[in-house]
Amino acid sequence: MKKNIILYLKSCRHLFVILVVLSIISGCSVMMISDYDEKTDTAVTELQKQVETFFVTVESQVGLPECKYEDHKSFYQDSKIAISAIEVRARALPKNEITIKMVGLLNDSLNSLEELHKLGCLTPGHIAPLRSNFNSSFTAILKLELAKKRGDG
Amino acid sequence: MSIDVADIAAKMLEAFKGQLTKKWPEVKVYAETEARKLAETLVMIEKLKLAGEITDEQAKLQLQIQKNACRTVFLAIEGLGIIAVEQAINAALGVLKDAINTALKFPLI
Repeated sequence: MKKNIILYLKSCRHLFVILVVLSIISGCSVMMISDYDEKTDTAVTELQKQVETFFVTVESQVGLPECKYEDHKSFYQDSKIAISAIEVRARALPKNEITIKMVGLLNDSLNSLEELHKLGCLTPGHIAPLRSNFNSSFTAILKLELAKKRGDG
Repeated sequence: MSIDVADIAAKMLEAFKGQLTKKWPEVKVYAETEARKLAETLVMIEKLKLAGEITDEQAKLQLQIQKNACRTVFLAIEGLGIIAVEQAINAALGVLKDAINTALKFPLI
């Protein structure tokens, strides 16, 4: 009698394990990172355009009075608003920690750019590495976002 | 019901490796391209400093932006790697599901 009870309990445990495994498998798929977000893609692309427009404008103003930081305050204000919106949206999405960190770094870079501009007009020599680094940052964010489409990245 | 565990495990591993093999070259190309660009940009900043075209403070801010760009690229590589592993795991799970349904001769899962 006791032996039968033990055998019965063992088979229940096996059945339980099988049911757990089957339910995990039938849960279909694993998702380790957030889904693609079109609004993030669009907003980051738009911000990249704004930054590039700024660089092109400043390049054309070399040696002119308009090259000063004070004449470009609106760019810095607009880009701060844009990056804040991107960050808020990124934080609202689940499993999106990597993108959140990347956007945080971009925000820091924009702040550093502002500090740099306050020190004096940006020359073509200054702008070349800035453009390259900002484009690397934007490309990285967009590359990951597009890869979240799972198969198109 | 006959499920050959060794056979399924081998097929799952193949599916897993297949996905990673497919995705990793793309990640590698991206990583190599960006590494080269970042190195060239660092050289630009160094040249500006050595030529006296930027002050210490300006160099510090340029390098901060450079550092942020490097970290962002590394984060992208990390994320691409996670997605590749995720797709590999799902490919392996797909093989397991098919094997179980085939052995049972009906779509249990």
